[in-house]
Amino acid sequence: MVYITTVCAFFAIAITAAIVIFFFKYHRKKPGDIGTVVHEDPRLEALWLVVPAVLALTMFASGAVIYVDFRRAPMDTLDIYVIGKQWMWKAQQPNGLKEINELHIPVGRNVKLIMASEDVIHDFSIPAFRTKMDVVPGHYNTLWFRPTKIGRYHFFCSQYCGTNHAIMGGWVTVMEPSEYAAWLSGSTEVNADPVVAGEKLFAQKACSTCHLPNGTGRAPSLNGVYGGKVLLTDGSTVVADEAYIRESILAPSAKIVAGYQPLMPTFQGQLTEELIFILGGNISYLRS
Amino acid sequence: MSSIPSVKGNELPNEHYLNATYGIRSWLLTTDHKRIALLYLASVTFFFFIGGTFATMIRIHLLTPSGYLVTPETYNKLFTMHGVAMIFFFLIPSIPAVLGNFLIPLMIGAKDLAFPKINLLSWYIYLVGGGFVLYSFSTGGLDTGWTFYTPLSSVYSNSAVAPAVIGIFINGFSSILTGLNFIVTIHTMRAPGMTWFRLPLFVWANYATSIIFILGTPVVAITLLLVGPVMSWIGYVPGVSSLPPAATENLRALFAVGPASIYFISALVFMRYPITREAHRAMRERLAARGAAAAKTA
Repeated sequence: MVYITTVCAFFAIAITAAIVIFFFKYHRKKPGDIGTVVHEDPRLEALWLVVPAVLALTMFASGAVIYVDFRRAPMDTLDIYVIGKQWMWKAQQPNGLKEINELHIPVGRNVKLIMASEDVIHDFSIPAFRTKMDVVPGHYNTLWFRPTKIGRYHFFCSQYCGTNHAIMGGWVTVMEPSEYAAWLSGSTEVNADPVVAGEKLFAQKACSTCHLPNGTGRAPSLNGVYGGKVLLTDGSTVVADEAYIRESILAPSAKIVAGYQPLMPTFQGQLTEELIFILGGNISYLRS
Repeated sequence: MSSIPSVKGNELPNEHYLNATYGIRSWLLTTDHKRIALLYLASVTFFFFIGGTFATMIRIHLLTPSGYLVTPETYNKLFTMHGVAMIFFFLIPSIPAVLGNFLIPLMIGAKDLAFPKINLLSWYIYLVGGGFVLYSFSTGGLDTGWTFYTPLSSVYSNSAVAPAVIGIFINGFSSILTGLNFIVTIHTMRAPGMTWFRLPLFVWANYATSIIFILGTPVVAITLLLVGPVMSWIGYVPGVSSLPPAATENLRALFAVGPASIYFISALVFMRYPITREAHRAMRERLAARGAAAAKTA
């Protein structure tokens, strides 16, 4: 960052100064003056090809390092689910507490937002954090950051998404960890516990009739699946992350677990993104 | 008297500036590249003012922080229609179809473009496409943004997307025909001695632009046809046959580069003419200089 800024500042100042100096030094002194004819100079040409090429490539490299860091979330994140829909943002804290157009997070902690869209393409943007990420229907995108300063910061939808796009936004509240913990426990509703809600949904949608916990059912047991590797019928393995669980709910025949038949019906259109989060969250709870 | 070697297709056309008439019929049926350039100039200016009207309404609306002129729905329609009119019906055809049409034959020493009738046809196709878009503007307007991202422009749209998309699709053929005409003209109708390396930069710029027309316009056309309402209009079920939103986003990045580079390349190179004139110096056209030097030594 310092490198890019320094290079840009140097050239901005140098070029501006050159424009001003040349303006006075080389202006036409009397009518009819003709500029000097400059013939080819390979050394000069090499200079203005090589120097900008080296600068551009090193700037690209330093930018790429930042980009890779931006795309790869660390392991120890606080995971918050975010749903964009026309025209509001819903967030769900790890304990199941839900917020609309508000997001509370502790300071100094790596936070990962796992984001889905209920309808069209949105974009979750926090200008004060200098970060944003598209929220695309049919697909999870993640965004991670580490807030360093306590305060309230605006967030916006920054992908045009229809009539009320302009007012689709809210506030991020960055709190002391102790305050955050108090806020979390202080306002938790009894039935908002995602484990309870997920268990209820698991039974309600009849998942539990096939996915028996001991693995003797028609479908694989989901205990301990989350975060591990799953062997598929075609011999490949897949990591059971949020995206895999989502796909397995909506398009079960896309990846069949080795040793099982493709029997499961699709739940496409029967579950909102919010319910998929709850169901997926329950499956990840079953890791214990 | 030794005759100038004749170049294929470069004979004097039946109708030219000495015997042309003035009536409306002579304008609408002309195959003269300069007249077609002027027809384009008039129609491009028309769309510039349509788009400019929308832009003016946006600015008037934003005079006060609360905005007092239009509702949010209308505001979204204004900037969308501004974008559609300006990008597809002003920015893309402006420099190639007006200045390129007028200047390329003059600069390479040809009597006209290679396909004068196709040149006129491309203008009529532009008008048909423009007609569809104006129909869309006047029957509900557009509120999808000029990029037409799905599913905002398909399942979640409640404005007149289908006629606008069809209009832009039709207009694409006008660009493709112009690009094809330029490429063939520059390849086959250069005057004797007008070698590739002696071509003026503006001709090079339009050659590059023509390649983008031919390669880029189909991408625009494909991504637009995959917008839901159009698919359902031609008999597919919306949603099922649309591309995934992430794929449309990526294709749209390619799509937006086309018009931007078409305008940028041709405008940048055209700007060299007043600049070099005012600076009392020729731009060092390296390739041209090299070519001339090579010709001398050969």
